[in-house]
Parts: sequence; structure tokens; C-alpha cells
Amino acid sequence: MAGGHLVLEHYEVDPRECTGCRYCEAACSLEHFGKVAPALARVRVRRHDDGRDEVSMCRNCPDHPCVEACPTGALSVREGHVELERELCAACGACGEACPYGAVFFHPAEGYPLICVQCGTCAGFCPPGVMKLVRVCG
Amino acid sequence: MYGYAGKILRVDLTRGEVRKEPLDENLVRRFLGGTGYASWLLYHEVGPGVDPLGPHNKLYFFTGPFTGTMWPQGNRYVVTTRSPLTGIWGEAHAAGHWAPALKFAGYDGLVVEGESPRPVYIFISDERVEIRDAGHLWGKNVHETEDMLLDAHGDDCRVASIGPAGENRVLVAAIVNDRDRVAARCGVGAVMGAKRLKAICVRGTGGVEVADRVRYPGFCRRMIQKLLDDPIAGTRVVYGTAGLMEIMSDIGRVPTWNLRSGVFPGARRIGGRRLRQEYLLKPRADFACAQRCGRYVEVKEGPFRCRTGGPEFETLAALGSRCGVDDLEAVIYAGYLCNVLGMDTIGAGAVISWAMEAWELGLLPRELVGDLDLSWGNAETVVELTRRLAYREGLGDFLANGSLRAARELGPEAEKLVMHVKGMEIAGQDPRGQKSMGLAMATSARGADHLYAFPVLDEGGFDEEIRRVYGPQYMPEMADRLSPVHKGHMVYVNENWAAVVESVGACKYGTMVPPTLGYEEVAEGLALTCGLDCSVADLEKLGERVVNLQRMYNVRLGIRRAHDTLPERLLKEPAPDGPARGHVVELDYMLDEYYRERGWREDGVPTRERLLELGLPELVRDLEGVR
Repeated sequence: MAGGHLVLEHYEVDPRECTGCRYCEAACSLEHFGKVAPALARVRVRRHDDGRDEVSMCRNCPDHPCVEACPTGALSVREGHVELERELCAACGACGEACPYGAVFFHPAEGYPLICVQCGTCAGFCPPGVMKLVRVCG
Repeated sequence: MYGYAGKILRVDLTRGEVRKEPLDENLVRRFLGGTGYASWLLYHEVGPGVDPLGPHNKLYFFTGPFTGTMWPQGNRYVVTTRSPLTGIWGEAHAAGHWAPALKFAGYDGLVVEGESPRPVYIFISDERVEIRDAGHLWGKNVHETEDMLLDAHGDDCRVASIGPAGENRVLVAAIVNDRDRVAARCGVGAVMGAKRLKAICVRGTGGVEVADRVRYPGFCRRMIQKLLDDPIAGTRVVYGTAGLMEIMSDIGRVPTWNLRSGVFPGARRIGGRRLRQEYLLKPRADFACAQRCGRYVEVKEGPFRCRTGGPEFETLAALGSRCGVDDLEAVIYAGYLCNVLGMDTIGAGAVISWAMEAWELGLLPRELVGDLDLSWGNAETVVELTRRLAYREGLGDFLANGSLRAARELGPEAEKLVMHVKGMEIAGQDPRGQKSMGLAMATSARGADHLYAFPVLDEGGFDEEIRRVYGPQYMPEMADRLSPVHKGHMVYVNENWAAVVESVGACKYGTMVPPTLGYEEVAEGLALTCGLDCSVADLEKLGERVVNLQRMYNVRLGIRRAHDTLPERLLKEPAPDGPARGHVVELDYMLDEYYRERGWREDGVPTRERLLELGLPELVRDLEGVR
């Protein structure tokens, strides 16, 4: 399933360290859609009253439950991250329900999933520099 | 149109109509957006005969081309109107996430017109715009309102609303977005309340396209890094603006006991260091903010238990030192009350401190004061009176139209104690300790205001920055905060630059203090974001155009040199303590230089030639009949 990759990478943020600036959302949408459009981002920040800024981002799970849940085979793991083949996607939302981290988002107009490809653009922009690269054996 | 949404939304609450109009590209070239664009519309649509609280006044919520982009702190909006507090040009500004959402929904600006017969809110979800009943929201505070609207419409929405203060048309009422980001000044919340508009709830799923996708990300990264590398920005991360409390008291500039003094003995007890050590949950940022000067604090127990954004320096000065209060928990709580009840902390603290002084001098009758003890430093009174202001209860009702109107009911002795310019209360600066601030307050188009020119580089320690921004020929006098020399030039330059900053939707932190991102960076940003070809000279002229436009709005209402003044206390009573001891503000000297720099007449009226040079020929006819 993991395409032969032994080490999977993803990013994590401590919600006490995130300042909630959402540069990650902006950078992600610019990188992948060519515009600053947080509703198209594959990472989201949610502010809580207790002071946490919770960042929902893909952990690139070794067992990839989103891929497993996809009934049409639109999702697969390639080069160490989840890829979507849009023409196969039925926009059923099963991947989102399967994600244990709430890190699958959906295109607001077209309904297909927005899943992180671990490109690291967001981490490169994070002004407090608190996005940490994590490597997990797959 | 790169960098812009391309549309303006107009909502007429009298007719219940929604209109969308294209952004005027000619106006974009002349004013860019934000304060410039909004002020142009206000000038032509809200004339001198309009009652600020009547149906013909309008609220212009405007973003700029950098709002909702990756320009550092590209998250701001202005709300421009005819102020009910001052009767002249009025504007308030806020950061947060609401303004980017408005732009992502497809609108560079929202114009609210008319007056609804019953409470309503505006719901915007991209193309869909509805005026909805707000009967269930009326009377709720800001946090309750946001919670109810997010429950109803989804937590991907952003809300700007008024609290009870705005509903009750309190003239220091604010508009609050994202729970604790506040468009505070000029009574904008009262205008919204008079229109019976409770809230604007926005979902935006679109985005902002940039002109140069290849170079833009690298440019933004460079701007962020430039900012973060500046030591001032670094200090701001640690202490927020609260850290200014100690510094400003040390230089004799923090308003204390209604500006009797610029030195507050309790500064360290309510300062940034203590706030950080004992109450700070975390520094917080708004959309695309690299600096995170925002505080999120908690008072864990006791009568002032709360969690809130802030307090900013201005809040600490207004509800703390200005009222002689050195109980930090009470100040945090009073600031929290202002946020949830929808009030300007500066205005609230200023009217309370005026009442305290009037009470001390026997000018405020007991029957107005009721059961309150208005002694200096009484923390419980400040908290309770803040609440009564918002609900117009007792003394709160008497004060709710601002300190100038209240004082005029009591007579000239009481009026002399009002620390205001043009009817708006002075913010957290005793200008006897920094002369440029005195001039800035006097000339600001919205009445007493530190932000319109925001002259801060003469506070001390910015000699290099002064050489770079203004030129070495102004040293060493310009850097001397107690000298009036060259301050006319300083305020002139700053007002123009601030107008550019507020027109593009950027933040004054990072563009003015520290002055890290300047004209060249904004010009490059406009090229990469919008594809606009603006030279530094074009932008300088644009800033000056905006200032002259706003001045002309006020000139049309009768504002002249005589109004560009300060309270007698600051002009005649020497500062009693600290490094500014013995100083008054030499206003006339600075004002003369300022008018010369502006090319205005000695009485403060722009000349025909100047208006033509600046590309404002439409305004020339309004000079006719001006005496």
C-alpha cells in the first residue's frame, strides 16, 4: 500500500504554539490553486476559546485510512503521499469520514477531497516556525 | 482584477435591497482601496446635511488590495462614516479574519445604507446576500451574537457585530469582529445600531488571485523575514503593545489622572511584563500576521475572572493609568467588558476619567453620580461604570454621548477638563512628553487620534530610522521628542504614508513602527499582487490626495485652524512630573510648519492649486464660499 516507502513524512503543530495566523492556509491554496483561498487549503486552523489554535493537517498515516475508505479507487499512495485521481472521484466524502484527524477537506464547489501532498509549502511560511517535520516508519 | 475581488456590495436597509456594482478602476488608480476609496464615496454620498445617526448616513466597510493576501498583516478593513461623536469625517479600523472573509466572498467593500425598521443582520455567503431578522440577537452581547450566528450558519463564517452599546447608540460604541478585534473609534457602533443592523456574518469560499504567481511567494517570504528580523517586532511578540505601559510612563507620555500627568506610579503593576508573567495564555495573530502582537489573556479567579483578547497598551492607559487604576485584573476585566458590550476602550476610559476629575472638583452633581464612588483609582467603579455606559444606566447615560457633550451640560469649568480634539477623546498619549503627538492629535481628520499620523520614531532610540525615513538633515531635532522642531514635516510625511497603508489594507505595525516595509515594498507588492504600476512618487501623491480629500470633507463642515487645537491643559499647564516636567505643547509653531508643508492656507484650508496638483479637481468647487 505504501508504495515501497519505508519512511513517511508529515508536519505537526502544537496548538499552544500556533498563533492562528493561517499563513499555512494561504500558502497552501496559493501553491495548489494559484490564489489565496483558505477554503481550498489542505490545512486548516481553528481557534478555540481556551487559547488553542488547532491545526488540522494530514499525518500521512502509515495505514492511510482515507485511501482504504475510498470506494472508487480515486485515492492512492504515491511517492510517499496520498494522491487523488479526480476523474475517478465520486465526491462521496468517505475519505473525510475515515480521517482520524479531521484533515480531509472538500472543494466548496466541486466536492472532491483536498488532501495534503506533504509538499511542505505551509511549513516554509509559518512565521513562528512551529510546524515540525515528523518522520514515521511506514 | 488581480489583488481585488472586483465588486462592491451595497445593502439598503430601508428598501431591503441588495446591489452589486463593479469596482471602479478609475477610483482604484486614484485611491487603491480602503480609506481612500471609502472616503471618496463618503465625500460624494454623505453630504453636510446628513444626520450621522439618521438613515442617510452610510457605513463603508472597505478592504484594500493587500487584505486577504499574504502581505504581512494583510487582514484589515476600515469602516468609514460621518461620525456621530464628532460630526465630521469618521473612521475606525480593525484586524482579524472578517475582512479577508468579505474579500474571499467576492467583495472589496460593503456599503450599508438606509435604516431598517426592525433589527436585522446581513448574511453573506459568496454570491448569496440576505437581510435577515435579528430579533433574537438584539440585546445579546458580541460573543453571544457570534456564537448564535456560527451555530446557525456554520463555523466557517466570520462575524462583525455590535453589542448593547451600539444598540443603545452610545457614542463610544464600536463594531467588533472575530470576538475581540475592534473597529473602535468615532462611534461607528452607534451608526450601525441606529440602522438596527446587529451583525454582518460572512462566508467566503473564493480567493484572491495575484498577478505574478512566480515571484509572489518569494516576495512575501522576504517581507515576513524582514519584519521578524527587526528587534522592535521581536519585542512586540514578547510583550505585545502592553509593553509600552512601562516605557511610556518612563518618558512621561502615559495619560494619568485625565492627563494631569504623563507619569503613572502604578505603571509596572499594570504593565506588559506583569501581563506576560501572570496572565498571558499566548500571543495571538490575525490572518496573515507575522508579528502576533495580539495578547490572549486569562484572569483565572476572583471577581474579574475572564478570558479575553487584549489588553492593548491603549486599554491599559485608558481604563488604567488615566483613571489612576493600578489593579491589572480590573483593567483586563473592564477591557473584556468593552469587547463583549461593543465599546471603544479608549473612549470609555476617557469619559470615566473625565467624570472622575469633574467629581473631584465638585462639578458633577451627586444626583447624576448616584451610588458610585468616583475617587481616582477606584477599580470597581471603572468596571461598573463601563457596564453602565454600554447600557445607558444612570451616570452611564449621562456620559454615553461622550465627555464633551456631558461637560457642556455642566458648564465651561467642566468643559475645560475634557481631553478631546474636535469632540473625540485623546488616546494614550500625553503630548507634553512627545510634541509630535500633540500636532498629530490636532490635525487628525477624525479628531484626537494617535494613529492618523502615528508619529512614533521620536519616542527615542530610532535615530537611524529617522535618517532613513525623513533624511539626515532633520537630525538631531526630529529625534528629540521634547522639541517641536521639524515635527510639522514629520506629521505631514506620516499622515500621507498612513493613508497609503490604510488604503492597501496593511497594518501600521511593520510599516510605521518599525518602519520596515516602506513605499518601495508597497510599490513592489502592488506590482506583484495587482499588476499595478505605481512608483514611489505616485504612492506619495496618492497618500497626500487621500489626506486632502478627508480634510476637504471636514472643511466643508466648517473645520478650520481654530479646530486643530488641543485642550488648554496641554497648551498651558506644564507637565508636573518626569522627563517632560515643565513642558507644554508648542502647537502654533508646529501647526505653521505643518500647513506650509501641506501647501494649505494659514487657516488650514487646502488651496485650489494644491487640490489640482493632487488630482482632486472635483473638490475645487467646494472651496467656493469658504472663508
